[in-house]
Amino acid sequence: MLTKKQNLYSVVGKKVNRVDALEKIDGSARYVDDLAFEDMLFAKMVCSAIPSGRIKKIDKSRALKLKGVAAVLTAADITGLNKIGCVVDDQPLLADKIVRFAGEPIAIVAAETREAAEEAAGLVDIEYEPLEAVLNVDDSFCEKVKVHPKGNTVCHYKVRKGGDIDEAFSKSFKVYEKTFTINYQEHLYLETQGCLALVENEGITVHGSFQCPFYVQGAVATAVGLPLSKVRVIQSVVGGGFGGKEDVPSEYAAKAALLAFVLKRPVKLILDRAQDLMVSSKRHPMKMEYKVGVTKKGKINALKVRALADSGAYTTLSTVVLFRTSVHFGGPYVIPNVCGDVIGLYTNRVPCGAYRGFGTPQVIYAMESMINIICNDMGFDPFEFRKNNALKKGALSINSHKIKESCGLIETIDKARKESDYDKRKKEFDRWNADESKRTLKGLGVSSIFYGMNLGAKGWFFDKAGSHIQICRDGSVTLCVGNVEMGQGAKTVLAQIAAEALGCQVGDINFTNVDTNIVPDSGPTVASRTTVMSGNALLDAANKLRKKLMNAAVEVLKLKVNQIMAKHGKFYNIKDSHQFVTFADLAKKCYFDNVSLSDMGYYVSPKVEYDMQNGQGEPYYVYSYATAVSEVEVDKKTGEVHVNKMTCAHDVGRVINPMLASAQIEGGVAQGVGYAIMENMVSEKGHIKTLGLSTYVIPTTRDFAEVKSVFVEDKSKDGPYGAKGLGEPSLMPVVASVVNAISNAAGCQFDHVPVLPERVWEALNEKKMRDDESEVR
Amino acid sequence: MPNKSFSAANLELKDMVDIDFTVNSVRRVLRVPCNYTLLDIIRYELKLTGAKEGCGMGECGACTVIMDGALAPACLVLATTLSGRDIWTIEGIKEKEDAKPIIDAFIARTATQCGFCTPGMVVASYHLLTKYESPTDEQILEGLSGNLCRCTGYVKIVEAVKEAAKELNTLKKEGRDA
Ligand code: FES
Ligand code: FES
Repeated sequence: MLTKKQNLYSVVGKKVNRVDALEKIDGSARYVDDLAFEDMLFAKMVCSAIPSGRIKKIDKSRALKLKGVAAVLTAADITGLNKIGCVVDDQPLLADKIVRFAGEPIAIVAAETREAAEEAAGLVDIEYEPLEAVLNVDDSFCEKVKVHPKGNTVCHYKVRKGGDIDEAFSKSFKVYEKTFTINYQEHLYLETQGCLALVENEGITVHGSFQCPFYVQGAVATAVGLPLSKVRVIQSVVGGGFGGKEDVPSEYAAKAALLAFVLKRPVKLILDRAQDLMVSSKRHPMKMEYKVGVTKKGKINALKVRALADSGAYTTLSTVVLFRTSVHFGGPYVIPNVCGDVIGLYTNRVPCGAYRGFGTPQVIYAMESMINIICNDMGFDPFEFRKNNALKKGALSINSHKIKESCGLIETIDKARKESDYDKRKKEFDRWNADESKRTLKGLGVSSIFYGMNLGAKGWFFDKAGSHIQICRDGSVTLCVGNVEMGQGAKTVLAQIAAEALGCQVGDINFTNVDTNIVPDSGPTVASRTTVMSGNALLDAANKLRKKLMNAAVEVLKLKVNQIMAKHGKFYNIKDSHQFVTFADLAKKCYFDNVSLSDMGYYVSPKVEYDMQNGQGEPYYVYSYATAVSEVEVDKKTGEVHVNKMTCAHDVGRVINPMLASAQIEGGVAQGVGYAIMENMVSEKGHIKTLGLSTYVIPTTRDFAEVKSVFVEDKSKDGPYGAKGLGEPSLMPVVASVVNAISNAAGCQFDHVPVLPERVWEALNEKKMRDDESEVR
Repeated sequence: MPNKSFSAANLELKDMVDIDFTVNSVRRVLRVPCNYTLLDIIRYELKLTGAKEGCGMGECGACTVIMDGALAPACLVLATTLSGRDIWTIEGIKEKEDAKPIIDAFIARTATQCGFCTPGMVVASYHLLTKYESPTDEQILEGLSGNLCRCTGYVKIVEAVKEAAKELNTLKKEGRDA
């Protein structure tokens, strides 16, 4: 049933079609590779062939002799500074003297055609002196070989809560220990990284596929040596990001801009798929040692975690990603005694950074696996156990954050159980599995998560957003925000928020793509923050404009403000809907009355207090919550797994658009399923071997899973109309629940992700041998 | 890796190829470098940028077109094999009467997110629905299995194709009844 308040909303909470659907469907949307400029050159990067070594010589002569080659630039040719690090200054734009991973860019070529650029890149001769490479976290940790002179530790986050941890374990009824490992995940946005730079008005303009136009602006200014005001970044349509286009595009944009600046010609740099797979950032592989103590009644009383993350050759975003790991490794549970260490380590492998979930799906997998083990061993019901330990209003998280509002975790657990028909399915599956003649085994798995909204304590100084709204005199509206549409549906949801606040129709709204010349720096499009941040920034501007429209309506309708309601492009008499004035007429009136209908909005994320030493305080201001239930089917003969169904219950505060919200969840499920059972990045001696889509395999329609999305709407007081974020939570519980389902089907807990068929097959055989032996006895 | 004996940058006239084919029912006579693919030709020569390059290796389906009535990854079709062929890209297909219900269903079902796979997906769906009037789930999943999508999890795409099939059948029936 709708509450009275919900009823008042005209577009928020409604199934509004995507505002950018048609142009994407009929192929007219312009992605960066669809843009072309007169006299444009094509660029290609020359990348290191070895994971670690000294560059002894770079010989450009063969490349420069090739027809159509305009330039080959190396570190020596950089007009600004040779640095690209987004958080820590440890990474060069082009490797200078030392290379630290196979694929690290050393030179950049520009030529008249794509083909010539590609060929020339192969003709740049580089002589190396190979050095010993650090290829895993254990070697990195013992620091026999140092990746950087300062040592191998990128960051080390500690969480210390409660009393002495060993004493706490001694009071546990049972203690469980296990080590888990998890591989890379590649974003595999369908559009590879790309940008186009040109010289304009004595500065540089960059078009491209970005999540963070303001990061790109900074990187280009640094590399070329220009003030920020001379660098303009204009967002193209983005073919998927998932975190992969957060900091990474800055690297390519700075290179293209450098070429454009030196050659005074437009330069396009589009990565081919193989190079994109080789050089762009990934989700951190981790090794996670878990120890969990449980009381007789099924309360978790102690948790000790040591997580080692492979950050790769440079810090990039590791320090912020792993901060989030340190908040989420204990899950959304109340645990009185916690001792956690999350350590990021340099290796001579590809740098790892942001990926949907931001350092959390790995530890969620480990923590939720521990809970699965505990429930199976002690005979607890997986939902009851989670509820029994769940965060709720008034409770403390592992960081001792006292939850004050908007916490629908327990409702998500209840809803997930009910909507997945868990109890009935469990009985059916038990019967199915008992039948030896069946070719498959079936399993159910559960996982719960929470997710801290926005950038939190580690990134508060970035956590702002701006907007600009202009109402034209015919009543059409132009919006500009600083966060980007990358497929998630931001434009649509933000148009709904603006339309609701202004009283116009969604169809009246036109979105200008992000342009750093128009809106103030709005921080990155990450952390599932766009709805909340840009939404609030729009509300700020819209409320100012609405006041002016309302004043005009008061004059026209001869009513008081509280007697007028605005929706769907009309300002009505609350008591008599036939008495109204249209939005367009009000806009016209304001125009001729010389009342400006153009305004800026600004929003800053709520400030939080956090003690980084002990990991205690408020890491984020509020959290989204979710519980997922997976149904899987395992082939006994081949070990192949198919995920048949996922039920996902999400508390994301107010749902602005239920259709887009379920679309996000379905996409997150597919990415999580891929991560759990098939996406296996193979790296040998520091070289990634899976450089195509036939070797790095992602889900196709053949892996189709039915997805049921349900919502718990515990409104957040700081969100626009009570909204929280969903982009990342959609993926976060998936891996853990799928692996738990496979583990429950196979009768053993899998300690490595992805769970490939060969491993499942082995596990089934081992179990059969064990069962046979015990029968003999 | 470029082949050592072949230099794309140093192409000469003898390395160009003349082709004479039809794209979206328009005859095209072109001279292009012999190492061009159909995708290069439609995107760079004909400026039809609806087909996308997601991999350039026949693995993703973002470049899907219809060639002589069958689906083809444009990135794998070499210029030298094109003469006499009949090609349909999204730009041509979207104008067809029987594509409209597909486009409408993709909009109504939010079957697109980032959109990079979408033109290819629409072409494949169109082809599927010319092949089967009322495709089964299995036929839909099979028919779209060459088109990767990283955003949607395919759920809404499959729904859209089903809805489009229904709508097309209604239109056909109305046409027959009239
Ligand atoms: S670009 Fe042709 S199949 Fe991927
Ligand atoms: S909508 Fe993004 S890949 Fe399909």
